[in-house]
Amino acid sequence: MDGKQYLNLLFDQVEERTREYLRDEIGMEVLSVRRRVEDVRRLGLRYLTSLLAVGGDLEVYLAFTFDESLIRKICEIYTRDLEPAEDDDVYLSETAGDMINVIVGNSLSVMSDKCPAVSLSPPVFIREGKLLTKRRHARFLMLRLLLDSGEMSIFCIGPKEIFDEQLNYRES
Amino acid sequence: MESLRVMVVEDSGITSKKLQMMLERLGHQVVCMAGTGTQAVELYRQHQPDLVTMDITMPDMDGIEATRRILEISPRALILMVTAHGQEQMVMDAIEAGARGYVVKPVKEDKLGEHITTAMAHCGAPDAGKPSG
Repeated sequence: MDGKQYLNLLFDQVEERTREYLRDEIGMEVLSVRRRVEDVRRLGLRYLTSLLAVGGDLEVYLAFTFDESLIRKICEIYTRDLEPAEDDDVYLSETAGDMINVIVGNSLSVMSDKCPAVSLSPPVFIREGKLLTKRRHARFLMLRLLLDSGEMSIFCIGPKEIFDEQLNYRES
Repeated sequence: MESLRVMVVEDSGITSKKLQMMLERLGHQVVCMAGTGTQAVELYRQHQPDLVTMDITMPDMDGIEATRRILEISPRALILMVTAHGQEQMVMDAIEAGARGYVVKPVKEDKLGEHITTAMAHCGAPDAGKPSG
């Protein structure tokens, strides 16, 4: 199995587990999914994006980017048993961070025999719909999920040209 | 189940609070919460909890290294990994580091309770948190 096949396997798992997570943990059904490869220089992010690095045998970044209406609804449901936060933004980011961490972490379980040494970074967050820009055209694997409360997209980004080792966004 | 004094190690505030609520409903007392591996080692020295729930992916020191360091302080420490990372190799690394169990997120209260019971049965807690020597 080559790198591209590993990546497709990971992305299949991420799609399946995102549907499961939204259904089982949040109680939301995904209405439709569109999957495509984008050949672009700029990638538009939504209101809030959580991003983590998959390291080791797989060297890619995964990003979950949410419409404001959707992440606010997910957060409201996810934190309904907790005391309200002093700062709403903290709960919003942590909701997006927990979601990508659980979905990508769980997705790695099926890759145990194929990619044994894979690490995950803690998630980082990008606010307010920035553009990710590459110096030349690049291919991004993308899923776009439509739900009642809004849309989210999942990007698989690689190789590591857009972010440095500490996941700091590189301005181009 | 016997009531344990627990330290929760977790970099997500929401997950920490959810774990705390589950542990308290299971009859345990959360005595401290750490957000990084380094903080976990420091707080372990101070509180000597009966049980540690340990995340793996954290800023600075990861949960596997923090587990090793806590076991240097107290070789009988009862540490349960609570993590999203589902890879077999990661489970093996955690067990080799000395963890007594492995719970995959998202955490369900009944599963957490079962893992705590199993881990306690294997190591004879709650005096597991006492320092060696």
